[in-house]
Amino acid sequence: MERHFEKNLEELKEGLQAMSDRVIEALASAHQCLVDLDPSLADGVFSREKEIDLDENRLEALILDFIALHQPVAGDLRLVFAMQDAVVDLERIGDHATNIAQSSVTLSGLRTPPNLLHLPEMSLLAQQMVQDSVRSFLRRDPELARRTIAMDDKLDHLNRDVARLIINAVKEDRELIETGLDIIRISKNYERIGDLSANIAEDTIFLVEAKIARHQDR
Amino acid sequence: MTDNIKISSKDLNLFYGEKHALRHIDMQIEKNKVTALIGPSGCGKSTFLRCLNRMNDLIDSAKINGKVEVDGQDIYAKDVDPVLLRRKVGMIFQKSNPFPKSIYENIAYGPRIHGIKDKRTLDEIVERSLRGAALWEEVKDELTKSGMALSGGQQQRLCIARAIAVDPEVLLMDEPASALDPIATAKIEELIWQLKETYTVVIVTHSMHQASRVSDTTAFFYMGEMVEMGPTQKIFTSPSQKRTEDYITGRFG
Repeated sequence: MERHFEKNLEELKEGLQAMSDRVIEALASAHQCLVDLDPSLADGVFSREKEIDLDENRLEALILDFIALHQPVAGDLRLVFAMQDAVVDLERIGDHATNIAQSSVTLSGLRTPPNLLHLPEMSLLAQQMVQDSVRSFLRRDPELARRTIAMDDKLDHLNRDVARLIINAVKEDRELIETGLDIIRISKNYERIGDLSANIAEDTIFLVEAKIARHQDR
Repeated sequence: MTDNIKISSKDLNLFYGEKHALRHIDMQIEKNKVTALIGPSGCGKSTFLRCLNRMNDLIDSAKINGKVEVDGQDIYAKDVDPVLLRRKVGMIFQKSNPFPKSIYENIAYGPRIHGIKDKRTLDEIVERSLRGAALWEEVKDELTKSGMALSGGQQQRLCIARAIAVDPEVLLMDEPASALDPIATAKIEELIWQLKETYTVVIVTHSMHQASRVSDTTAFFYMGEMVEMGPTQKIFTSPSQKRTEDYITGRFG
């Protein structure tokens, strides 16, 4: 017989999976909007973001109910706390997808298509990190979590390199300032998505190994 | 570390006839702490509790080997008087069992049989014990009233007062709040938390949440074995043993 407790726990996990699917869709749309410089694709990101906000509210209410009704302990307690953190992180990733789409719309209005530098690569990397971090969480796979955390260094490196390339380009041609700022903004958003995905992966380690992995040297 | 240990059991085994009810229990119970014993029915937790003041002596079929020490003294040694031991290691039961006497007499009975006859001394003991059990304010004007006329929660606190009237050092509690409503339970739990300042408390409880609320240390028993013992906070957030986790999260038992 399936217990009430297990049913509610399953509902939480399914909710997290659905939310992360929407976040990944938003990131994929933002990616297309960026690489195709097609502003019509931004609407898909904006509508997804509204759904993601509703997911956050719904899951937070479910988590609160779960704690109040079932008073979980041990692994179950870690799961709901880690899930609460993951939900907040996913919602923020949704906000970053929106920021990327907004900046992409600005870039699409330029007469000359800009050089996107490392942004397409950063986008793919960030999407992979989000996917793997959530997968590590739902499958309780700390090794996948550690590999995901390690990917964050690459994203940080690309972000710094984008900033360096933009500074050099602006030194050559001051007309590029505004475009450069949009590119740096997008790059920074991807860098933050990497951080938030790493946080979710750290939640996996906390969940499985009962060790706080946040704020440790990576 | 040894200085902080009030009770220790070493390779303690108990048999009820053929049944091996406690298996090789090694446990150290710290002084002035609350230790909770948890586990499913029949796991041996109450049997173990009763070993700590030789209540199992009263069961003919019970045979014990191994050691239980209180303050380093083997309580099963031949020269130990069980009556004096039970004065030092008192017991509070699941169902409150006041004597059919006045509140005053319920408390004075123990000290009196231990030889205290002076009325003023007995008055002091009664007040101190009732205060210690957080009952004084509720009953101070009706000490001649029957103990049986009190509410269930008050009766249980009266039994705690009766237990502490003989100056014990250890209080054993066998599901002391299982028959009480949530408010009376909360009072007993608050009292347990205060009692540890003076006494070493060992409590058997079926309520996981009671164990997590009142105890410093939790020991999990299963089928006569002590599976795991550790700080309560650790047991309820990240137990080391899968059987402990399965039990406290309600997946068996």
